[in-house]
Amino acid sequence: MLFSSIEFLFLFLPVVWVAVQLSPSQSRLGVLLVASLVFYGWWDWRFLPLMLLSIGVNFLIGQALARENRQLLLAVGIAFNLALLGIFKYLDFGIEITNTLMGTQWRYLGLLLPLGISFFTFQQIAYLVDTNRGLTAQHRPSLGRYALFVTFFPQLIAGPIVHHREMLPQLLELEGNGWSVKQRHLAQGLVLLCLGLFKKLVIADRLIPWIDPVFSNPAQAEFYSAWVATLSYTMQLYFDFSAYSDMALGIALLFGIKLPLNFNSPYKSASIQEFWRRWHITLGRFLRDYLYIPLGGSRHGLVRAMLALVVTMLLGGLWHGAGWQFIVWGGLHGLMLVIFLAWRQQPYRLPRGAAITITFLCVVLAWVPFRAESLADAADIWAAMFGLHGVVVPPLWGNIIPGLANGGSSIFSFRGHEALVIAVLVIAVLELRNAYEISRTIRPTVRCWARPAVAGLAAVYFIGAPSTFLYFNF
Amino acid sequence: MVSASTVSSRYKLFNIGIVFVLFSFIVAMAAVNYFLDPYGVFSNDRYCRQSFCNSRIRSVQHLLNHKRDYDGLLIGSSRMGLFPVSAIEAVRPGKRYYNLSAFSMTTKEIADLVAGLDRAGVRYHEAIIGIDLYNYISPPTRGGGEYIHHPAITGDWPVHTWLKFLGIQSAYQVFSIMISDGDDVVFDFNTGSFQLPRKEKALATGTAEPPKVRLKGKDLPALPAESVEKVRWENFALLKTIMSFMDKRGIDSRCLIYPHHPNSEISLFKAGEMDQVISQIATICGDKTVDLSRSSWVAEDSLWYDPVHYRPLLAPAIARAVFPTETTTLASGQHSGGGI
Repeated sequence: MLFSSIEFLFLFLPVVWVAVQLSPSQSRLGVLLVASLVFYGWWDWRFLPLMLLSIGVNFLIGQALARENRQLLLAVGIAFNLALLGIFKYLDFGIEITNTLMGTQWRYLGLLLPLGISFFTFQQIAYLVDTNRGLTAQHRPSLGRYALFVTFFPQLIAGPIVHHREMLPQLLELEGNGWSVKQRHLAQGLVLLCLGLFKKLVIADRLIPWIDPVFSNPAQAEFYSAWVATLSYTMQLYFDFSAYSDMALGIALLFGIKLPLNFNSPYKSASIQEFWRRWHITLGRFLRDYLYIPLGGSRHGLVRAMLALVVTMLLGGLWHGAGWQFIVWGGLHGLMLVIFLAWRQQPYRLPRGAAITITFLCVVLAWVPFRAESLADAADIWAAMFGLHGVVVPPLWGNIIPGLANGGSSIFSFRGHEALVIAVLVIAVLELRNAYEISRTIRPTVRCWARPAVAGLAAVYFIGAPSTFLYFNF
Repeated sequence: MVSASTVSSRYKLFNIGIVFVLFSFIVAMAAVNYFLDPYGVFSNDRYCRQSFCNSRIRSVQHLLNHKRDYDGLLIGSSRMGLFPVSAIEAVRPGKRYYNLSAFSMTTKEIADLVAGLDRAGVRYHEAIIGIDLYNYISPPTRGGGEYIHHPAITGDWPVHTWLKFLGIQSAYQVFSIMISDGDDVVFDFNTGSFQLPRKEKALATGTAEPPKVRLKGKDLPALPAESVEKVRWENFALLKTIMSFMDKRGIDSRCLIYPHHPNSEISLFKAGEMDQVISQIATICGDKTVDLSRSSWVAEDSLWYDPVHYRPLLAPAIARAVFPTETTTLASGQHSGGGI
C-alpha cells in the first residue's frame, strides 16, 4: 500500500486516524500498532513473521542490555541484525563474488528482499548500542511501545531512520490522557502530504520515460540523451525520495508524532559534506554515530579521518544495494569527501555559486553508477556525457538554431524540450523553499491554503497511474 | 490580537477545507470512472468503443463465467484479436473457440493468463498461441488502464483492482469518447474477437487512404528506444514455460507466427536475427510451429489495415495453415510452406 495510492489515502489513513482519535488513551498505541502491522502485511504477509521475530529478539536483547552492560550480548544482537540483512540482501551478491573469484557454481537463492529491512535493522542496531551505553534508561519501552517504535507505519518502509530518543517519549505521550493532535500540526501534516504527493506523482513519476530507455541502452546514448537521462534521474530521485519523506513526516504529524527531517534541499549544498547533512539526513546521522565515530572519526588526525570516511561511505553505498555499482557510488562519495577535507586545509574558498555548481555536478556524475544496471553501463553513460559517443542535436534545437542541425541521429526520441523542463526543475530545487520550510510557516489563510490544495488536486488526478518509490528497493 | 481558540478554529477550517476538496475530487473521479467506464471494466459497454477498453479483464471475466464452455483458445496480440473465431471453427468443425487476445499482449502476459485461468478452473483442450515477432525485439509501452489484468490472473485483491479503476486518470479517454463520431474498435466479448469498423468502412467505400504498408526509413513506426537492436531472449523461456504447461495439461497447442508484412517492423531485425528468433521458437514449439511471417501471399496491400494489422479477410487462409490436415487444399499460391 503506497502512500500515494487510493486505498491508503482514502481508506486506510482516514480509518486509522478516526480509530486513533476515538480510542481511549490505553488503546491508542495498540490501534496504531495493529494498523502498522496491517500496513506492512499488506505488501506481503510472508514478511510479517520475519519482522516480528526481529522485533522480539531485539527487544529481549535490549531488556538484557538494559539490566547489565554486556559487550558479548551486544555483539550477538548486532550479529543477529546483520545476519538477517546479510541473508536477505547480500547472500546472492556474496555467491556471485565467490563464483567469480573461485570459479564455483553455487546456485543463487533468489530470496525476496523484505520491504524496509534495511531501515528497521539499522533502527534496532542503534537502539541496542545505545541501550548498552545506558542511553535508553529514561524511556525504557514496553514490548508494545518498542514494537510501534520499529513499525510505526509512516516511517516503516523507507525511513526516516528514527532514533529511539525521538520516538519513545512521543509514544509515551500518545498513551497519556491529555493527548490530542493540535490543529496546527494537522495543517502542517496535510501540507506536507499534499506537497509530497505532488512531488511524487506529478514530477518524479513523469520523468521516468526520459530515464529508463537510456539506462536500458547505455551503449546507444550520446551527449544529449546521456545528460537528459542523468539529470532527469537526479531530479527523479530527489523528488521521489524527498516526497516519500515529506509524506512520512506529514502522516506522522496527523497522529501528533514529529519525525526527524530527512531532506533539506540537498542540491543547495556548497560542499559534499554539506550535501550529506542535507540528503537522507537520518542515514547520514546513523553512519556518523554508529560507524564513522567508532572508526575513529576526526579524533586521530586527518589521514585516519579520511580513511574512516571512505570506509563509512563504501558501507553506506553497500547499504543501498548488493551490487558493485552501489559500492562504487559510495566510494566516489568517500573520495569526494576526502578531497573536500584536503581542500579545506588551505585558505582559499570558492564563491558559493561556484561551490554549489561543482558540488551539484559531482553529485550528478556519481548518480550514474547508482542508477546503472552494471559498471559497464555506467561507463557507457559517463563516456556519452563527456561526448565520447558523439553529439546529436535534438530537432527542436536544430529548428531554432539552423546552424546546430548536424544530421546525426539518435535512437532515443528526445525532441529538445527536455532541457528546458530539467532547467526549470533544477532552478526550482535550488531556489524555492522546500516542503518542510513551507509547512513550518503555514498560516490559516486562503493564500496558504490554495497552494497545498491545488498541489493535492493535481496529485490526486495521477493517483491511479502505476507507481512505486525508488527507495523501497534499498 | 487573535485568541488562541480563534487561530485553532481557523486551522480547523483550513484542514477541513483541504480534506473536503481532496475527497470531493476523488469521489468525482470515481463517479466519472464508474458511470462513463471508459475502460469498460464495470460492464458498461456503452462507452467501450475505443482501443483503451480493457478487453483483458472482460475476456477473462467471460471465461470465468463459462469455465468449460470452450474447446479452444486463441491467445495473442491485436493481430490475433482481429481474427474472427468463426474462421478457426470452420476448420475445426464442432469445436468452440474463444479469442483471449488483446492489444499489445506480451509473452509474459500469455504465460500469466494461461497459469491464472488454470488456477481459476477454466478448462480447454486446444490453444493457438499467437507469436508477435515484434514482441521479441520490443516490449510495448505500458501503463494505461487497458493493460491491467483481472485479479484472477494477477492474484491481486479484487477490491484493489477495482479501486485502481475508480481512481484512474481518464480525462483523455473521456474526451476521446466525447469527440468520437463512431466506433473505432468494437469488442465482442461473447467471442473475444474485435473489429475495426471505421477502418473497414473507409476501405470498403474507398473514402480513406489506402493501407500504408510500404514503409521505409523515417516512416517506420516509432519503436520504444530501449529495445532497438535488443532481442528479448527472456521471452523464449516464457514461451517454453507456456508450452510445457500446455503439454502437462494435455492441451493441443500451436505456435502461430503471424503474417508480417515484409516492410513492417520485421525489417528492424538485424541481419540474421529474425532467423535466429524463428529458429528458437521452432525449437520450443517443434512441429506445432506455424510460421507465416514471410509468406508471400500476405504481401498484398489490400489485405492490411496498416503496416501491422492484417484484415480479417486473411483469417480463413491462416486458419487453414494452422490446421492443414483439417482442410482439403489451400487456395492456390497462398501457402508458402508455412506449416513447419
